[in-house]
Amino acid sequence: MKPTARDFGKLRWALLGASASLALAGLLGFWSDGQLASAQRQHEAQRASHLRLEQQLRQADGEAHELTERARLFRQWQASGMVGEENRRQWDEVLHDAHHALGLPAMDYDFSPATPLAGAGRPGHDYFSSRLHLRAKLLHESDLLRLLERIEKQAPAFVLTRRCHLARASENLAEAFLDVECDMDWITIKPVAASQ
Amino acid sequence: MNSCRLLYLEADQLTAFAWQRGQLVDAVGFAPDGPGLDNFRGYLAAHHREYFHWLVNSAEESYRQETIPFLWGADRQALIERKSRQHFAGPVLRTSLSLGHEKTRRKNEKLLLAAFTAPDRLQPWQQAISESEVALSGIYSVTQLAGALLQRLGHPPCDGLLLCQFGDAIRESHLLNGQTVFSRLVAIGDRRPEALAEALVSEAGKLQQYLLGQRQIGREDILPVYVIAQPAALQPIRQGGHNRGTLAFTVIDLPAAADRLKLKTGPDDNSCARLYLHLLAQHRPRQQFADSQLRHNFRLAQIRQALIALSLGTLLSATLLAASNTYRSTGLNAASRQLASREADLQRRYREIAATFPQLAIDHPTLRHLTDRQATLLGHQGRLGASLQRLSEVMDQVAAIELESLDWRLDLAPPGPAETPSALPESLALSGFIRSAPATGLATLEQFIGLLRAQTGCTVDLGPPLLATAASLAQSASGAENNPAEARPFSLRITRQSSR
Repeated sequence: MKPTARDFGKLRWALLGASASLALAGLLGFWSDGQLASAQRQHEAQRASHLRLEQQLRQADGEAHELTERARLFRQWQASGMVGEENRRQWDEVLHDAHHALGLPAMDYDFSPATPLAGAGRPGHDYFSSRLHLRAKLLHESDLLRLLERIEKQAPAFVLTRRCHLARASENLAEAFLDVECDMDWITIKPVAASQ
Repeated sequence: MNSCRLLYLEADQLTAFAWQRGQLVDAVGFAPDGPGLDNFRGYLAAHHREYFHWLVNSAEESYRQETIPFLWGADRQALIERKSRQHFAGPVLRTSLSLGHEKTRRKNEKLLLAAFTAPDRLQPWQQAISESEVALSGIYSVTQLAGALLQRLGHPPCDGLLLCQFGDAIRESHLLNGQTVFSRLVAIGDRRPEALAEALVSEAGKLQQYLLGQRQIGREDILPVYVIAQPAALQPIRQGGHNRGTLAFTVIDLPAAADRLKLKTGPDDNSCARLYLHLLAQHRPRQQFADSQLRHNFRLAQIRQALIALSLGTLLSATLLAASNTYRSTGLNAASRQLASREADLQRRYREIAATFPQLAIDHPTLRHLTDRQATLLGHQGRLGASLQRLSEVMDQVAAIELESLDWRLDLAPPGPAETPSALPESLALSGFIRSAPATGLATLEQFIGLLRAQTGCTVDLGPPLLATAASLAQSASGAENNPAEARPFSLRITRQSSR
């Protein structure tokens, strides 16, 4: 059988019907697939959320204990002045007291402005660091350890020593003076949004 | 196909039937003259959307058996066409049927070639059909249905004769394995049952003699003869067929045959025509006589039907798929709503429990973050003191070492998944003098470095002055053993991948 143009004319309605049916079937299938995929996504999300909430609820008792412990710690920080805007005057007093209490021959220092601690910056509250550059003369190297220990205990911040350079101050060994230069991070907690 | 039209041509008279629900109804006859053909054209026009099947019962029908080599495809078709034209020249309607392959090494194929040898009788009807553009499935001969008729009447395919009454004519067919290989139509003058019976018995004998002459059957072969005739002729046939040598007569009552075929409208004219039409409507043979041009509209109708079937099938499949998807979506949505409802309840319970949690100015994730990192930071406090303590212990064991300066540093890594305790190196750079005799200077230095390296996690890099010192100490030890002690400078760096 050799089809002619006239044959296509005879078959036009059947061809149109078949084309329309295929298109309609495609649309129907596409639409229903979309509906099913959407329902599956929604169900998966709902199920994941539900499981998360169930787990959260199961852990609620342990969470209460854990949060109480953490809150106690946080309140200690608040009481020590570590949370909120840094009190430079209080910091000066801590350093001044240490200088005199240890009887150091000389000591001076300066603080740099507070910057977010490496890796910090999440919304809410986070850690900030102020770098203390301290220079002092010591009679004995043990004075350095006592000075650092006192600062760590007395400062209203986490104090983290980052660098210390210790050297003989003079060629005259009898004097036994030591020069020391240290960098320390004074780490406090501040609201991120307020500071940025 | 539940509804179609059947055309039956016998002795120039064409009769059209409607085939509806297994019944042949609305018989309309057409004469082969001008008015008859006009009426036929009108009939075709009135039913141009239906399928037509044309059954011909003609005396001008010829058969030839041929053997061709084992071929297939276009070659086989071309050879069959050529053989057919050799036997039936002119504008005749031809067809062919394979009778199987010889069971020899060459596997030659046996063919039955058939043709209507008087095309003029069919031509006016063909032309009307062609002009009307109706869907004609094909032109069939009653002989093509003889085997199927016997089978439907309960007789398995076999070799034998079938004699059917068509009014005042007898159709005689010779069947091999259920397939007609020879047939002829014989008129009878006297329609009385006794005369009909005598004619049937006589014609069976004549046909047997003819086949013997053609060597189609053996002289001693028992030849079954099936006779389908009107009830009144049955008894005379049985009497006439008794003691007819190798002819074994089986007589079939025409109404009984109609019942067997479940004809709802039985033959009322002592003719087997309706039996054959009934068979044709139900099982059309694969071979037919019409050329492709006459069947063109039938092919178009088949394509149209296939397109409609495709459309309906596709729509049905899509509808089923959509229904299945919708059913599953509805189920999932209901499950999601149920989960949402339960989640609201869980949230309410969690809020009740959370109300007992400590209330602070910061949220709980931030509190966790701050306290976790504080633990990390605390681990770094006091590392200078520990480092100096370890150095002091080594210095106590090696008195000849004097330090001039030390430089201690701690690198602080940001928190995160990559952070591990060992990833926070601290370094201690030392510089000083070794005060010892040249002979013991090298041993002192080696002892000092060995003690430093013995500390867990420490690596010791020797600075250039220390290397120079070590070299000079080695020379002094070998060359000037009695030189007094002298101070030699050194520097080194201790790196510690320390845990917190």
